Amino acid sequence: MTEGPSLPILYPMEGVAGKTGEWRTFYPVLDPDLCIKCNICWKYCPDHAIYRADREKDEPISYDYDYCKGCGICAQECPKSAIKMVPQGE
Amino acid sequence: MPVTQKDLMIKPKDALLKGHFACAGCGSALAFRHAIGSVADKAVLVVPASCASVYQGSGKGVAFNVPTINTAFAASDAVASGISRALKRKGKDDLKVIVWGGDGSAADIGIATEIGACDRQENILHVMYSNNVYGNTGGQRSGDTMIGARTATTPKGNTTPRKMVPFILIANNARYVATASAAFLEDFVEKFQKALSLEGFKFIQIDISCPPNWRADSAQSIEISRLGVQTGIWPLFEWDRETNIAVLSRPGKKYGDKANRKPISDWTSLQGRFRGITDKELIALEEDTERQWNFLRKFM
Amino acid sequence: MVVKQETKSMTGNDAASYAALFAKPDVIAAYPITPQTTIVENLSRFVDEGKLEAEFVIVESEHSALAACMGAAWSGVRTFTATSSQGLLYMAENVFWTGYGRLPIIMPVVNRCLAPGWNIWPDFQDSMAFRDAGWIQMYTKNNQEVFDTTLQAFKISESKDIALPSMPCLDGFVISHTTGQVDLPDPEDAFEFVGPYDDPVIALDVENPWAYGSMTGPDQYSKHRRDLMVAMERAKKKIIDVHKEFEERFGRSYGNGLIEPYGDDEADLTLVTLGTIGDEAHEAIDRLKAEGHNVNALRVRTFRPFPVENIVEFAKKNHKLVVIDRAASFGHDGPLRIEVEAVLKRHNVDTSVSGKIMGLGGEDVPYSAIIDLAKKELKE
Repeated sequence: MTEGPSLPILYPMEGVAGKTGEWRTFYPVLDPDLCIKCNICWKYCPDHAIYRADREKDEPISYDYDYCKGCGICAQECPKSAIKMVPQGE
Repeated sequence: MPVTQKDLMIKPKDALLKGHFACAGCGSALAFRHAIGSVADKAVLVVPASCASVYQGSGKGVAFNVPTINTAFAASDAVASGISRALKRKGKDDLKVIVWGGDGSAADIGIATEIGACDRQENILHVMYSNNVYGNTGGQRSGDTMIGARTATTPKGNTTPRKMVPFILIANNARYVATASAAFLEDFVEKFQKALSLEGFKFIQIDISCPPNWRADSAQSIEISRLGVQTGIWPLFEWDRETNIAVLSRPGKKYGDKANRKPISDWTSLQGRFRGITDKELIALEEDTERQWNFLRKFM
Repeated sequence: MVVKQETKSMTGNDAASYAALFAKPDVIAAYPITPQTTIVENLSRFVDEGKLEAEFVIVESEHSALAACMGAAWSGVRTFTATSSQGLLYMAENVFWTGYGRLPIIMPVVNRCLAPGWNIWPDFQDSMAFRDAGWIQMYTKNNQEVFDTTLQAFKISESKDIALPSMPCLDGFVISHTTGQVDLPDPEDAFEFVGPYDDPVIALDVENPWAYGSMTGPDQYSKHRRDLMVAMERAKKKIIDVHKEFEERFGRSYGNGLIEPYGDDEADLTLVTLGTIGDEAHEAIDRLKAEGHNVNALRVRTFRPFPVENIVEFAKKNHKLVVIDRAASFGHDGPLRIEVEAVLKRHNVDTSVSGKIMGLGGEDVPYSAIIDLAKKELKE
């Protein structure tokens, strides 16, 4: 097999844009007592930054803060208002 | 089969890896995550110049976990045609060739290419994610921009009606045409899967929010898309060539009746691009929305 | 040993389509433009008659013709299309995308001038505009060479160490629509020469996904372009090797594949040409020699990669090169002359170079006009 040309090819990887959590100005904070484990926030997260809740294990959702950009969709869409957006640093 | 939220959880693999370049609250990345995720192992993506060519990644790698070909702005549907034909020759036509691009390519520069592929009945699915603006270049008016929208090239407000791309493709004998909304992801994925099960040229136009160019709060990305459906701005329907009938989709069904719709200002008021919109412009926007519905009704 | 071949009468476009037929491309894209059209018409007939098993994509524009070939090439199959003039210009961004993207697509360009005004006759303004697009460009002098060059192009371009698209160029009408004799090998002998495309430069793979052409920074970008430059350099040897292998099998050659000298090694005056003017120049040389003039000719067969070393070596033994260009770089001079002059200067060869732009828009360039030019130059 002959070696091929230098091609503009990139392979899949996590974090191509780095730890995009650094983009945040606000971060989401969950009140686990209010979480009904509906996973609607998980569904609407464009950044894949929410770990799903598990009803059977009674585990609420949780965040991958490395990649959460702090858009606030989860807080807006939560039917129980269990998520609050807090300014970074507070 | 109706797709449920539970179905969205079952994916062959993550098609969009974490840490991509999409802006916070991007509806296109969200739609990608679920749609391409639902077909990951069989998907071959063709991406024209668009936000998707940027948010996929740069330099060291890509967030797209499926084979992806980036093409020139107007070339995507023809490239997809070539891929589809080649896969047929290789006996690999179980793979799904999907064009994933914005309204700049689908409504404007690439529309001839798209109609060409539709006309030839190429076995591809084109997903046009529409933020009704040239987002990647800084928010200029596109053929899909709404009346009244203040864009970088229509600072006093856009005056021209939307180019009704789905109807153009219906007129050109597509196999399947549907609209969708990022607020109703189950409905979108259901249509996406249905389209992929059909042979021929399929087209889905999905409304996605663009917080930076719409000068909107990223947290309201989904709410704005939802209001798009509820105000009638964004009819949700699917059309199948076999029946030649357009059917309103469950989440948007009741908004076929104007009486059930929320005022369009509920939708415009959440977006800075409509700040300063006049009553006259609002009426013109309503009329253009109604024009779309009237067109749709001809197929209902 | 040279294989058996059959002499047939056909146009240059027929010759190009037979070469494509014998190479068995998997995907062919077609869009009509004069004077290219009969190439893809022939291929559509071959496919319809079952002589060729291929996907024939009847696209809505040249932009899409090349785009469809690109999609197929990315999928790892052999592809073919053809174009001319405005059509080549309409596909412009994809021409560069193909070259810089290293997709080994074969696309004969039937040379025709550019509008305005509307004119369907030949000059090289169209393909010359794509000199820097990363394509191998070979200019042919007759119908036979069109067949031979197109067949060779598959083997050169698809070689993994080359991975460059090829543009065999043929003068519109003078070759494309003029019937001449072409020795055609048996299709299987021709295919054996080209070989199957089974170690593709690139091929989509769902098991091992990658993204092609994503955002690329300056470092990687320039690395790709430097590799293209190196591949072009390597292509010179590849063209010579493939040309030699072709000669051994089919018994025909065109100089060394890069340049084709005509006449004595050394002369007072050399006519340097591209394309069919090269053929006409032979007639001029023969007549000038009969009159006692010491003249020869050099036809540049391969324009990209530019055969620098061969031209330098040739020029060293000669005294005055007169370059006939069938295209113009407005604000400078004929592109071939510009390049020949630059190459000699760089290599400290003091052979004089002059030139004339002739034959634009199909203006006839008969041997008599070439003789007049040579005589004038001989006096100076």
